[in-house]
Amino acid sequence: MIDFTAIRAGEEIVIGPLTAFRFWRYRLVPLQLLSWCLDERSWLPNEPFEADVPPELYSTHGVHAYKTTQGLLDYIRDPQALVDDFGLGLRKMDGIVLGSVGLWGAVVICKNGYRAQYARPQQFTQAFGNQADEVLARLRAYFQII
Amino acid sequence: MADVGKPERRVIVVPEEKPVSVPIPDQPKPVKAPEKEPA
Repeated sequence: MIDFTAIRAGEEIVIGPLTAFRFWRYRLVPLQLLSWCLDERSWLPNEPFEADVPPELYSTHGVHAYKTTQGLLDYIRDPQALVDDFGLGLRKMDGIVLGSVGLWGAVVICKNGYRAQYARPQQFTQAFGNQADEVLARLRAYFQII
Repeated sequence: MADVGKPERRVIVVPEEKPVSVPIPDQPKPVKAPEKEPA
């Protein structure tokens, strides 16, 4: 998966994965976990989610996630308002779910978070939207995680 | 998604591999050459 021939001279190698915090959109029928951006690719169990383009220092590519839960909450501020404002519009979602991810591959370390080449959900902690409690249990079972 | 702030540096993160124990097959017992009977 990692293309070791793409590592550049002087790039630091870190043993991972790095743990970080992010949120996703979910849909209930069928159950789908999607990025907040308009990427329609589902996140799947047992399969790393790969960024369209590996992140570079001065680009916006990569799977975005925050270093801390507080950093994530500072960004989204009011999760229920996100669902209310965007749910039935462009984002076409039933709600959002918060959790943590493992990140690896090429990773750009930023002030408040990361942009990574590969990611996999590690935990789902809170959901907001339609059938929020139920979807939390369904996603945990689907991804076989806490 | 989100604004994760000013980029600082790019690193390569390699997932740690869990050690795998590989069973060592039993060594074949040496076969003793038949003793030659005295002529």
